[in-house]
Order: sequence, then C-alpha cells, then structure tokens
Amino acid sequence: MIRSPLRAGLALACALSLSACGGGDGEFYLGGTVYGINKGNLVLTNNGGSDKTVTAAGTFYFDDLVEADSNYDIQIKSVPDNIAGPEACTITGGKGRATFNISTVVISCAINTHELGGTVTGLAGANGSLVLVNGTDRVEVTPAAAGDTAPKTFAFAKVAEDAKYGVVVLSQPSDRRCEIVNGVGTMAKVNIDNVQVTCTPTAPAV
Amino acid sequence: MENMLKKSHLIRSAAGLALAAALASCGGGSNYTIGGTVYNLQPNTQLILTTNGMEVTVTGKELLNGAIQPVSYAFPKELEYGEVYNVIPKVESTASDGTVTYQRPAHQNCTATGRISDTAGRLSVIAADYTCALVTPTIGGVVKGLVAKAVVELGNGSDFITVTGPDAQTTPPADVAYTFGTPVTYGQTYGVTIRSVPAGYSCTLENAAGTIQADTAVTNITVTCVANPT
Repeated sequence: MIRSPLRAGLALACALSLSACGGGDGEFYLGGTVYGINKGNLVLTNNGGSDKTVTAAGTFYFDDLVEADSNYDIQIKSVPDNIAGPEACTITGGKGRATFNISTVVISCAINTHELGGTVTGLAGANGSLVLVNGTDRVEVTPAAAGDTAPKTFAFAKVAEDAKYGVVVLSQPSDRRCEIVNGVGTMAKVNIDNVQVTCTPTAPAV
Repeated sequence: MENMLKKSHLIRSAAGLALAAALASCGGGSNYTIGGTVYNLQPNTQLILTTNGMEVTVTGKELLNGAIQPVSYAFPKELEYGEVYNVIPKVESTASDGTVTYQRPAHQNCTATGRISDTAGRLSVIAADYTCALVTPTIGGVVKGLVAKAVVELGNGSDFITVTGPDAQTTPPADVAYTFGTPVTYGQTYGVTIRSVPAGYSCTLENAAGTIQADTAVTNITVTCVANPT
C-alpha cells in the first residue's frame, strides 16, 4: 500500500525527464540571490550558455531552463564598474547537477570603497576638539600644541564608490570657528583627501 | 534479529517512560517555570515583563568584547500544567481611548521574538523571548524660501533627498517640510549638507549636525534659500 504512491511519483519523474530529453528547453529553473550590487551590469553565464544580466541586488533566474540531470556551473562574466572584478564576488552553490528547481545560488559582491579625509588648519592651541561627521561616521580631531602650524589630517571610514558624502562640523573648539571646503561630493574611483577645514580664532570675549 | 528485538524493547520502554511522565503531569505534579531570553538589551537598561500577576525586571548585561549579551530571565513562581501565560511588558498607563503604554528600556523598543503566550506544559521548552533595538528617529526640517518647483538637494552621509517647491507660487514662499528616508539610530550622529541649490539661489543650513539623544524625530534642520543679488 505504501509503495504505490511512491511508484506513481517515480513514473511522473520518468515522464518529466523523458520530456526533458525530447525538448531542448530544459526542465528546471536556475537562480538565486545577488547581494552587494547597486547598479548594472553583473553578467552571469552557465556553462557558456546564454548570459544573464543582473542590474540590481535581489532575486535572479537564468532565462534558459536547465535540463534535468545536467550539470550547471555559474560563472561571472563581468561586473558593474564600481566592483573591482569577478574576484570581488563570491558564488555559493553555483555548481551542481540539476535534479530540481534551483533558487539557492548566492552571489555576494563587494563594491569598491575609497578613503575620505583631508586636513585641518588653524586648530593648534585651540580650546577643545573639532568633531566632524559624515552622516553617522564621526571623527574627532584634537588640536596640536600652540605654535605647531603643521596641518592635522583626518580620515573617515571608507566610502563606497558612487556613494554620496557630506562632511559637517558637529562641534568645534570654543575659541574657533571652522569652515569646510570640498566637504560635499560623490565618491569617484579615487581616494578623496582634499576636504579642507579651516579654523579661525573667534573674537575673544570682551 | 536479536538486535532488532532489543531495539524495539528499548523504544517500548522509552515510550512507557514518556507516558508515565505525561501521566504525572496530568496528575498536577509538574510545575512550569515561565521565562526566556531578552536579546540586544543595552547594558544597564531594564525591561519589566509580566505574566499571571508576576513581574520580573530584566537588566542588560555589560558588553562582552564590545557585544551586547543576551539575558535569560525567569518568573519567580511556577505555573501549573494547563495554566495560560502571556508574557508582556508591564503596562505603564492606559489612555482614555484605550491606547496602552507599555514599559520599555531607555531609548529602545522591544518586540516578542519567542512564543510569549501559550499553555504551560504544551511545549517542552518555554521561551518567551524578546528582542530589543535602539530607537531610530527620523531627521528633517523645513526648507524656507523655496519658490514653485525649485529643487534643493540635501545629503546626510550617503543618504540624500531632493526637496521640491510647491506647484503654485505663494508670497512669501511656504515652508516645505522634508524628512530623510534613512532614520538615525539613537546615539549616532547626523550631518546635513546642501548638495545642490536652485539656479540663482543660495541656501544656508541651521542645526545641520547633531547626535540623536532623544526618542523623537529631529525636525529643526532648517534650510533657508534666498535669491542671489542681481
């Protein structure tokens, strides 16, 4: 009694695989999820078959179905221009033999990041620190001793390529007023080191 | 064959034991401790949980290697088999319209992530878990002096927003309220910049930078745009 549904299932599977052999279109869909891209084009191939172009993070499926019992092998053909290369992406579960629909392939890419920083002048001998922020990132610049005129450098956490940034004074020494030049921009393909903060003494209290 | 017999014997005795245990619990011998784990509770903050007339104060542990530690808790008295429990934060007040305000740890919201309500004895493990998160107020303000359909783009870190003047011009121009799409977690900083201004206009910021130190939205980041002198 128990065996008969099993047998029916086998028969169905056979019928399916036979039809797969008959047609060239394959049986099973092949895909998964892409993480870590924010623009096109991530181009994927399966065994040199037709490309799949992915333009956003999320779910993807190859347009071509894969044949039952065939081997699949997903490779990255090209990456968006803000990703260093195929080696900056990892593929998990990209190889195997198709015996059912596959939606578990995970492709995880890392967008390039670049440094964001610059120099502060006029801070030496100031009464208290200068605190700069880029959104939730916070950098404290402590003043050098009075008379030390060398500019102080500062660096924020790296910023993703194509991401926007904006450096703002959160707080400044009580005896300085600090202004920022080149504080706003969009991260290109090179490090940004030209954010200039110029602090000038405020008029002493009379 | 002998092995198989032994195995079935073992299974049988195990079944017998389980039955005995179940019978014992039916008899009212077993009691059940209601408890669970509170995740992501900030150090030294308190979540007060209640059920069946009991109350327990769960206090966040000190960080370990910079990470928040889960805190286990248990209510003081055991429940009997079949008693219904429903672990909820302590009710602080009930408004006239029926809105209930629950206790919560400072600057955090906690949500049930375990089975907080059930019948004692139905599940082998009682895990009335909660998970807390710091509040994430939004930041924003108004843009003043924005004429009809004029656009100013503002940024906060990598987040940005375009604010567009009203369709119809009024004199003086109405303030246009804006809110950034990405909220800022309690304790984090924000710093708003002007990324672009309408042609022929200059805009200045007030209260551009700050640190989130309250549970309520920041609405005082004012942008004032004025026409350039001709």
